[in-house]
Amino acid sequence: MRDTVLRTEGLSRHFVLPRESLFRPGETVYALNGVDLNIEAGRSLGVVGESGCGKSTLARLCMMLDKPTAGRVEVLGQDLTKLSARELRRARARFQMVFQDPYGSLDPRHKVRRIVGETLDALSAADRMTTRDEAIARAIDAVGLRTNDLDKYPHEFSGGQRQRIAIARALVTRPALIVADEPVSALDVSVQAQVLNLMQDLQRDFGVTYMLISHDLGVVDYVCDDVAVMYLGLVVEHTSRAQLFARPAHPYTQALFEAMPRIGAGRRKRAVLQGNIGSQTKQHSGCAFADRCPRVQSRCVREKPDLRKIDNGHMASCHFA
Amino acid sequence: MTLLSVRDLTVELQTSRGMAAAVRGVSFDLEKGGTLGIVGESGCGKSITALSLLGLLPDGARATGRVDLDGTDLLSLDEDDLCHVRGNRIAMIFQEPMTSLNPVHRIGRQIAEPLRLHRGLGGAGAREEVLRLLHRVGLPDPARRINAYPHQLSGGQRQRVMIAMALSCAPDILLADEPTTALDVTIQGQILDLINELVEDTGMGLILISHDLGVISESVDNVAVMYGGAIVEQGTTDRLFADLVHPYSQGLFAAVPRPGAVRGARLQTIAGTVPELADLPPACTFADRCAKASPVCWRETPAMTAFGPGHAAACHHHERRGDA
Repeated sequence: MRDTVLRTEGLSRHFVLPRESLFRPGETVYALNGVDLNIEAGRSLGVVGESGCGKSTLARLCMMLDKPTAGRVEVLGQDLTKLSARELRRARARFQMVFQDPYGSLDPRHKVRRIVGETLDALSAADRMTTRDEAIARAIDAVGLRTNDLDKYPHEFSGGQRQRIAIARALVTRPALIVADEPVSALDVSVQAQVLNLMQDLQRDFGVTYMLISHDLGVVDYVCDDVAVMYLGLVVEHTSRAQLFARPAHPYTQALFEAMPRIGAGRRKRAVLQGNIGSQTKQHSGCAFADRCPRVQSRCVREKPDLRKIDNGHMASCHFA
Repeated sequence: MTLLSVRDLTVELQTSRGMAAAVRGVSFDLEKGGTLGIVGESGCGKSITALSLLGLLPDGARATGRVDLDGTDLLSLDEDDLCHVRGNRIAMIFQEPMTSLNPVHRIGRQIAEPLRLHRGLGGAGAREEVLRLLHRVGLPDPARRINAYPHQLSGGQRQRVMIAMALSCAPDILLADEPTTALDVTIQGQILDLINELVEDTGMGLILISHDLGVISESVDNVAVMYGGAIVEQGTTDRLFADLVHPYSQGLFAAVPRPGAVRGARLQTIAGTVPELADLPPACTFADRCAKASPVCWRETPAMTAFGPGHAAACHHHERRGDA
């Protein structure tokens, strides 16, 4: 039995919008509606979905950058929602994050040495003194930059190199879990491949486990072992990458595959979903995907499907999967 | 019949380090009703190429060469004449539909603007035409949405409004610069389907600019791959993707992760990053990142050489590959 790196139980986050009328309360955005996930050590999880599906909210909650409305987050068996601010700060050494925008996530006035080293402040003072310089040098080397890059400022680097710095910052405390929210979507294709290869190497060399958030099935497939597909704040399918790509079970997953542009497939009509993602301010009595689903039946509108086991290690929430 | 003919288009931009060529000797043709895709990474000159067709280059930019639309050289036109071309003969849709729509005007008024300027429609006539256009681009409930502000629409709906505006004067050419990059993948499919359908129905030409090889490959009949301001490979979509010749096109293709690939297979990468304009190698712009580069690549700009019917590439090394 491998260690569980991350476990979420019934994780929900609802945001109340400012009221627009004196006589009505503000509307509620149901961003995340009860997500149960389990990531074992060494089995990276990819979270896929379109904007508004709650994948970034999920990432922020797992990092405790935001407090859940309900549910719990456990990293290595420790319930993060119960920790004091002080304890949480210490605990952060074990889980780190890489953000989407490598321009916005690095302080332009700090040198790389300080940016990468800052995360070490979360460690105890004793650890900090003895290993600081060594840890920084090791991290920067691991991401393929040179030690003399440590005395440069972020603006001296290209987008891909900046994302390497962001990864080094996450890596420096030797975390068990790195949550990466769209880490390559701001990069050009040729540079994206370099960063994805690096992420794969670090997984092997440092034993980090990723939770990788992406809208791109190809990216998730490349780095992760398991995939969770999200729609309107819920996980609708969760299985190994091999299963998902061989036998996608949920109609939404199938539509995502269908809509993915393919190189060399020739001119084709994409048999895609009609309409837009449903409203996040509405609570659904039935299946959240019902209004766009090509296979919808009356049961789907009435009855909410559970995320249930449909095959060995394959979960989907569809009445007809 | 050739509708648009671009010959040796070179655009120099003002940078902090002096003038630098963003587009270098680009030539292509667009047939009446034809579809052309321009693909490349950021800084390859694809957007500047598009903007120069409409005379929308940034201040201080210098464009040379010829851009013939039905025999008129667009580069020689003054601002008044260009206004007749923009929107009327060539219409453009941009990547970010939020910033290209005016946030303080209702969308009905924005779509009516080109109708008023180019077709002399006003009042009820314009409103009727706007409704027809909104219906045509598949915006749900046009009669109500005509009074909406851009922020009340989703990204996909805003892009539909942009397309309605572009269609309003029945242009000969639709220039679409990364029209789906800001959209979700299922919405992207809807918008690309709509663009293709409109191109087929109206017979207008399409120039689609994208960084996404998949989008290009599914949407157009002809492709030009750009790098460092130059077209490095061009041809019909089928032939080009069946046999990529230029090392850059090959690298770009190999760098895309594909779902279902063999586990553990590494992505091929192109070494380094796209250099700044002023730092581009003088001859073949790809020379500093190319695995096959030899001294000749730094000395001589490779000419476009036919590699097969409807397929050409600009590389000093591609004959050798053909022999092997």
